[in-house]
Amino acid sequence: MPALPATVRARPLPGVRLLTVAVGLLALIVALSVYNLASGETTATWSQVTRALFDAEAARTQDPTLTLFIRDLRLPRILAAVIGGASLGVAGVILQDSLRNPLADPGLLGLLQVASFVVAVAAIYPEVLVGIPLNVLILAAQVVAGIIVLSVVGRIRGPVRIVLIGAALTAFFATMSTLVILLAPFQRTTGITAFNRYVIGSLAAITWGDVTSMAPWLVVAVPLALLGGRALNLLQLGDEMALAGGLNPQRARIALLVLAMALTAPVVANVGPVAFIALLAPHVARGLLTSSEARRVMVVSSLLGAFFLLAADTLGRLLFFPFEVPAGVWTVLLIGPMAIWLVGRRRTAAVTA
Amino acid sequence: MTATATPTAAAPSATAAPAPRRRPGRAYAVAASSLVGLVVLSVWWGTGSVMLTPAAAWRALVDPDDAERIEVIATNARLARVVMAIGVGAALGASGALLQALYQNALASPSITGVTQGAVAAAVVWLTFGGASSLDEATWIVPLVATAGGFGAGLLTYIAARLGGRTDPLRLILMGVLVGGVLASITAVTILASGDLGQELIRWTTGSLTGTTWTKVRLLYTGLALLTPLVIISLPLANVLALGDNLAQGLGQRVEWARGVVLFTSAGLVAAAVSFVGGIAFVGLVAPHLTRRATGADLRRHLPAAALVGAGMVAAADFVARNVVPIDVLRWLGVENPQVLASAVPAGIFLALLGAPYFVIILRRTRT
Repeated sequence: MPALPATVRARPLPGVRLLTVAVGLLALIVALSVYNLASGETTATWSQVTRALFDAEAARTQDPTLTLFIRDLRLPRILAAVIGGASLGVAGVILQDSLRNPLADPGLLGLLQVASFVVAVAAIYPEVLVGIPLNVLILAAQVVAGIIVLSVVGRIRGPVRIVLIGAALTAFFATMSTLVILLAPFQRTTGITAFNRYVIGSLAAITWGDVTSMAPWLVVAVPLALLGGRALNLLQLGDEMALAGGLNPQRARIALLVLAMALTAPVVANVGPVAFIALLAPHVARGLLTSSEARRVMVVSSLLGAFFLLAADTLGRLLFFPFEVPAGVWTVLLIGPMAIWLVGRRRTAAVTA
Repeated sequence: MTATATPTAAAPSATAAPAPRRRPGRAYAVAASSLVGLVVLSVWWGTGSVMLTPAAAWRALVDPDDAERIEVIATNARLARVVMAIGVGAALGASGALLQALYQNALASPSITGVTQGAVAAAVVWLTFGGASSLDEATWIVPLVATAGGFGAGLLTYIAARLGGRTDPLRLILMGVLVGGVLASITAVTILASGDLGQELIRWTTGSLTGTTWTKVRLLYTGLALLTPLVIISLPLANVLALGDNLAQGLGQRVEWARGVVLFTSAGLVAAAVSFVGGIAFVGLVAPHLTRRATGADLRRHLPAAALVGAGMVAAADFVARNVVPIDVLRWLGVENPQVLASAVPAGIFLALLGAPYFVIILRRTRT
């Protein structure tokens, strides 16, 4: 009897490999977080950190500034990095599997540029917001862009078409952002500075408010994504196979894409368009797991995403201390080339599938 | 392979489309496009507001009596811009035609080779960290740096595509998009660090002919002249490559080598164009597409027509950018100095505004 492809064969979900990888990554994230909590403007000892975290009253009276640093500056920043990275990691898996495309990344599909455009308009003409949260506005813009993509793609036959559409959307919305910036009245140039912060993701100005506005999206979207794991596994096999497996491929794809956008929108709104994490994390996760089973890949990819963003922010914050380099710079300079190398190494068959 | 409307020559006559039907259209398209180019040229040159450029306006302030000098300045600036637009558009149109044959995909364009983004990134990085205080300061260095960046990006795309064995159109497209994306991000990061120069750089990344001088025009045409023999060599190679790798090999072509030559040539054309005016998009996509119907997919006929239409597109876009932006609208938007800004709106914006919807339309049409 011929062996079934790995994705079809039934395997117990919590594999040993998954557990090892996940625990290892978690340990890395925790270690990096602790290091992050302790270092910076004033370096803290282990006991100071634990006290600041778990015994706020005592810490406040003994060492008010350090406690403030740890609790209100460093902690939300770490949490935002973890939440943002994890969201991007999951979104990447959803996009790549549902579109059957190794390059399906919010940045390369033009979704980040749409978001940037919205942010540019909102930063320079704040009155257009009329009380709508930026998250929601970005999500709406992304959904519109996603509908454009899907409506022109038609059925997913090969990876090229969608990539070309993404390139065109990217060029178009980048140009539109330019137009908005060039036409900005002089008295509104503070808006441009605000926009620039969004062009490349940065965690420098994160507050607890940002964390609380990001967290609910992740909490709701990740379980939904895991529920969609079966659909993703079927979509990986192609639309015909998905149909044979009892799935309406187009409907499932739309639902999954909206989910992916719901995961990226809050990140873009609060941290900025962090590039390439959503592209690289799933590829690395599949490599570590030697499997492309969507749920497992999502778990590992979210941890990897969190680790990447946290590492990028740590580098940005502490490498040239006291000069701060936005986290987005490191994701572009380090993760971008890694993605080129990793995707380029795949053989044609693997890229096409 | 996703044969998304491969060049018509690649499709055997299974569809029984009568070839002769195209013949009357061919001459028509070439004539019409050259006509459009000429009309645009003459209209532009003839439109007679004196205060066209900030420079001319300044001269007028300094020496209000010297009407003749103002005229000369205005004429010179305008003419240089048209000539530049034509060179740039022709290069982009031609390289688009080559690339669509190379990738066997009518939706391909220079920006998916990463070359455009590479040239822009190199120039922006150079201007930011090279200590220039304005784009006009380093007239000839910037184009050289940009060209080098464009070639570098093209090479990187090729190498990345070869990492997994041999190159094929699919891998080249995917890696080109990825390389381009990374380079575009590098540009964005750099602009963030560029301070006062930022606004000028942002305009440049969209493609603007503001600040064209005759020196730049001369440099561009020298570059294009050097590239012409390569283009002529590439024509038959790309024609065969458009048939698909198997057929090309069967015809005795060294596929990898031919692909390298064609890619190098088109990268050169794009780099030359982009390095003078910045990242103009959609010309290399739309111009070959518009002309293919009239001329057929044989590049010996198709490429000149695409170049001609590309030239017309950029010249027209710059004309619009320069003369048709309604100053009242800018004033209404709260723009200060609308006069100055109106002459500095990048031509690339109009190409994107028209190009993107056109792209969506052809995408829907080429659904297979």
